[in-house]
Amino acid sequence: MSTRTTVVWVPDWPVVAAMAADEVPVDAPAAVHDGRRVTAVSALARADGVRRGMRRRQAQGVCPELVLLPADDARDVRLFEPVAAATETVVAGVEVTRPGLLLLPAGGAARYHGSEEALAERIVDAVARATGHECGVGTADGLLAAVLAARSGAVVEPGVSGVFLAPHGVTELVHATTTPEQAAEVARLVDLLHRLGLRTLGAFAALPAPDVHARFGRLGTWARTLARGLDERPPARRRPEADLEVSTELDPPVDRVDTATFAGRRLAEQLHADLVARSVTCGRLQVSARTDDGTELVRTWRTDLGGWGAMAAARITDRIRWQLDGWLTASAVATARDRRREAWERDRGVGSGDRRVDVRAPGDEDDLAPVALVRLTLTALDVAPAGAEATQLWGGPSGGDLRAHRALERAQSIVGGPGVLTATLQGGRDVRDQVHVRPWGEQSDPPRPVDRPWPGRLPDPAPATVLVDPARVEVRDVDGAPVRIDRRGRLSGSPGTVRVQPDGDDRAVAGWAGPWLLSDRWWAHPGAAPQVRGHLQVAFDDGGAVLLTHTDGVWTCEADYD
Amino acid sequence: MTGTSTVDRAARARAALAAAELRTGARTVLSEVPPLDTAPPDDASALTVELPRTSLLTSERPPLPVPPPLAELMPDGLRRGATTSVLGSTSLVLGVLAHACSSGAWAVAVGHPRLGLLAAAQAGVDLARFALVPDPGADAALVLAALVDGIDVVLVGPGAPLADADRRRLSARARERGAALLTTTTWPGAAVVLDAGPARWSGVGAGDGRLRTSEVQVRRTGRGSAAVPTSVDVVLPFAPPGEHVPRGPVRRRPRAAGGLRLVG
Repeated sequence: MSTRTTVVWVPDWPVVAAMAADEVPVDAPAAVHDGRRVTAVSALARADGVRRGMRRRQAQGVCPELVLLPADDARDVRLFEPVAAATETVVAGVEVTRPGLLLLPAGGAARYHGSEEALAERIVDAVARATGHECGVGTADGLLAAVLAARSGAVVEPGVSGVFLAPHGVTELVHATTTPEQAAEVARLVDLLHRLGLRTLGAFAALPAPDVHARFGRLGTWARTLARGLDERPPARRRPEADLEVSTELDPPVDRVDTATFAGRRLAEQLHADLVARSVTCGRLQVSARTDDGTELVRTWRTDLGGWGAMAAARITDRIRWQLDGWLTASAVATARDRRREAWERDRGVGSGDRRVDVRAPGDEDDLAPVALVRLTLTALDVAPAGAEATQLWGGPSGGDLRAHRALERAQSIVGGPGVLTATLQGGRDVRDQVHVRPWGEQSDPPRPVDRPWPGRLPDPAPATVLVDPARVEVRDVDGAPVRIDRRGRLSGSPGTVRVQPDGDDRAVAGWAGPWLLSDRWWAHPGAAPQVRGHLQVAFDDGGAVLLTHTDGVWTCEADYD
Repeated sequence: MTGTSTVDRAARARAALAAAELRTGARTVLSEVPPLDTAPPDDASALTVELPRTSLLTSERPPLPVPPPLAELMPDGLRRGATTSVLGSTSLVLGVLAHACSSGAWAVAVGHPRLGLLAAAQAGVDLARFALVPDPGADAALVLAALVDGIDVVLVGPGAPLADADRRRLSARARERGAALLTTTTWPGAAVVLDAGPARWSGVGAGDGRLRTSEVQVRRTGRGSAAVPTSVDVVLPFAPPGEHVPRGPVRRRPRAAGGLRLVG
């Protein structure tokens, strides 16, 4: 069985995607490496002698100006989506085999567009126009022949795929795989075939089917089917379930929350009506706005936590209002450029439990003019047919969970989005670092895994009270001289008294432990001298205990064991 | 479609709705639970009977567990619908909270900007079912009223500005909704007041060791059966719920009666 198949192939897709993501100029030779080996090479780099499987040093040796980009499967998939979408403007259903390669049944589409050549021309045109990537399109009977035809942009006449494939080497079977695991298995099979003297697809296809199955098993049968120009199954076409998007232009630009909320309310009703009309639901809701200076503000909310009526128009309006509140009061400009910095700020500022979740980049307070919005967009992401989403197998949202979600949503509508927080543990060393605090409804995976050793972590138990703003204290030794931690991490004397500045009582120290020294993340603030923080546990003779922090000659009380 | 089948279908829809409400606990609890799941769907006559409804009675709900060292002070456990004040020690509050939530209850801390979340997690609080409203601001009473409606354990801290009238109303609302109200500030009309004395931390020496445990005397006062003041010495932090704690240094293995015995 074989289907007339058209394959759209973007050569060296991981490199192309990485170059697009990191804005590497197209005339620079580039390669993608996964930390150990080069996994994909651009055409320019290949001309200079860089090959897949090279080590980093080796690749830089043959091509010193090589730009090495990190491997990222998610990025490849994400950036390939526009290519698939561009193809879908020409034909109705495509199957994305892997990032960089998609296939579609040629029959109907070729008839509609006149001929297979015309179809190829239109697809190349559409992809180039929409995404700027060059792609090759080939048509043949069967997947493998079509993939090989795509590399030369050829059209193989019906019925001659076997003949077309026969002179090609068995190595080409790798191109029909979809996952790296499958590719590794096929590579082993190809190696075996080479050792058996079966070097071309034609020679392999000429073997009798029962013998192939007996000797090579399931994988061998699959390979022989492809080598004969046949298919195991026709392309599984996906039905495009497009993200629903509603947007409105705000003219004149809006700089007041209430005015913008009115626009948001209209959008929310429209989106809700759209969702209901198509009887779909969405897992995430993205609110995005464009300011008058061209900045895109984007925030995504999860909606599957909402309990009942999470997607009601009023609820969506609430979300938009909190978002606009943050944006228009210029307290939370989270542009794509600043988001990395925000993530860093957030990591530093968590655990304090205050409203530092919406951080602004330092120094932005003064030069940030009030923003005005010119465009507001609502996008429903993760669109799925309503009622099709599965709840968890064990302990899915029970009545209690739904009631709690609803109560928290209601509290959030009173105090605002960032007023209700939820926390997860994350890896870290000091008391604040180990907690990842996010507004309710914006839960995300903690950035640092817990199950690492984290040497230098403060010992358990953790202090039950963590001060929002660390209080300055004075630490003196038994002779009354100030205690310091020197460059080598030694205390200048054993602590005798601790006084909370400016006019607190002296508390006599009964015992102390530490210091635990931390000089973490010095690379995160370039230019500043690396600072060593020292933590000291101090127990007083009245029974209490506190956690003191020494930074650059200044002692602060960080937390209270109470 | 005939008229009877329409009535029939409406009745079945109502039955499904009632079953769903009962299952999720969204509405008032029917004082006498009809066997909705086992009733045949076409049995419309049984469903048209108006069932008496009551609000969620606290007696219908089992109390929440308390840490074993406090069992002497709170023999009834942490009662739902009652207000319990825990004063003087945040570790003690976290221990009580962790054990109260150990069976899947939700908790929220309102007006507690200084709560150590890491300590909470180590005490055994499941952070997936724990939320924080660090600074409820002027709307604290409104926020708390909303939270008491849906969350099992509500912890009220000093950051929530409340008048005494607000506190009484909240207590009444918690009683009605069956939520356990925990406060770390003095609260008029609290059923049980746990008052921790000064802590005595041990474990550190002169530059060695680490803080390990603290000994605290917890005094109980309150109203009703808790009115007799008692006190108990406990060691904080408590073991997280679910972790096996040996009873004491000597563990006696129960001897099976009639087992083999050395004779003669």
